[in-house]
Amino acid sequence: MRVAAVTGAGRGIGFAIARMLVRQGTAVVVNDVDGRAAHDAARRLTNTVVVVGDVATEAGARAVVEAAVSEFGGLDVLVANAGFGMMGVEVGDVTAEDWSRVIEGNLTSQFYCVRFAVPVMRRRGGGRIVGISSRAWLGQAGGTPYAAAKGGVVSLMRSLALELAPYGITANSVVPGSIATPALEAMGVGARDALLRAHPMGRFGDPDDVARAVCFLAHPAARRITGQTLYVTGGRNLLLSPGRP
Amino acid sequence: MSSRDRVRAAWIGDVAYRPEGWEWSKFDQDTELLVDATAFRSWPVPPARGSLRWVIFLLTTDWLGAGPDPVLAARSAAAVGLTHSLAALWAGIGTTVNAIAVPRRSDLVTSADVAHALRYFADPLNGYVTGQVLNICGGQTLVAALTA
Repeated sequence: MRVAAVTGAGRGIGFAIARMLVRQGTAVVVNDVDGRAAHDAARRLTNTVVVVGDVATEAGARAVVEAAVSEFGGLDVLVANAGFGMMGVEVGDVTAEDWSRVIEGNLTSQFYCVRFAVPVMRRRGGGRIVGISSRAWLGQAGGTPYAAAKGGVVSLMRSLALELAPYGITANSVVPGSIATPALEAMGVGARDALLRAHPMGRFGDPDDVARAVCFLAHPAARRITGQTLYVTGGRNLLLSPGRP
Repeated sequence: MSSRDRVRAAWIGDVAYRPEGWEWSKFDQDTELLVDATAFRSWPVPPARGSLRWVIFLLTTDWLGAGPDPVLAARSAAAVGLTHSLAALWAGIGTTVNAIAVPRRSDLVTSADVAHALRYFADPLNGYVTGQVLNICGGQTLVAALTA
């Protein structure tokens, strides 16, 4: 049986990824910093184990990988999804603490998980690493720390792809655009409508759109797909000017 | 997939460009999708809403410009331009346009590797990925700047 670990799997995109992997017969380590969300998610799925903890710490990341080994015997797929946004802050108002918190939560967390996962995957003879980036990595006014962190995710995955290819381990980035999650729903109607007008398809994505992209890259048949950046944006990344279709 | 479904698959989505050495017949068996490159010439432009679900271009990684054959590089790069442009133009009418780039000659990448990606881009549920150029090359082209 294939084994996956999904960080930030308590809700939204992370939960959709865990659910799709489970439906495909994969055992899943469900991680979230929010214990209630993690346990609620796991109750809705089968063949999971819950690890509550912050993967922006080494101990939290190590616990996720150790659970995969101790509960399911190894790790085939790491989906580094945990993170949080920070938008609407001009660069002059970003504090050093803001910067560190956003980089640690969105980028360093993925590095920690990878560092512990790779030796386990190498012992298993291969693996799949998927880092969840964001369309913001292309550049985001008012979101410099977040954009830099998510750009770091793309670079991290590309470097891992080159480094880990000899071991049968692939590493790819999935780049979601505006996905219909509770965070997006919480926006005001005017802001949501303005955002929607910037989408060529005229709709937001669904968490399952991201989950399908992850499962495509995590599949054993994706053995030669590595270092790629897969956009799940409804074409928004194709536009030549911000905010105008 | 029934024969009727296969006909419908050919009608709703066709592959337009085939680099030398990559025969679509190899993919039919793996993907169960009937592909017919000749249908490209009969596309209505723009297609009617719902009449064309997906377009997948198959090109070579020469589009990155470092290959020994400038003509092939230009043809492949043109297909990338078409992918991006048609994807943006047709996003509002339910047609996705994506591309798969493979090494021109390689023992590394097989038709089964490409078939996996074809299945993904042709998945009827998969309507939110468009304008993607997926290089299937085992990481060989990663140092080229255009691959980001």
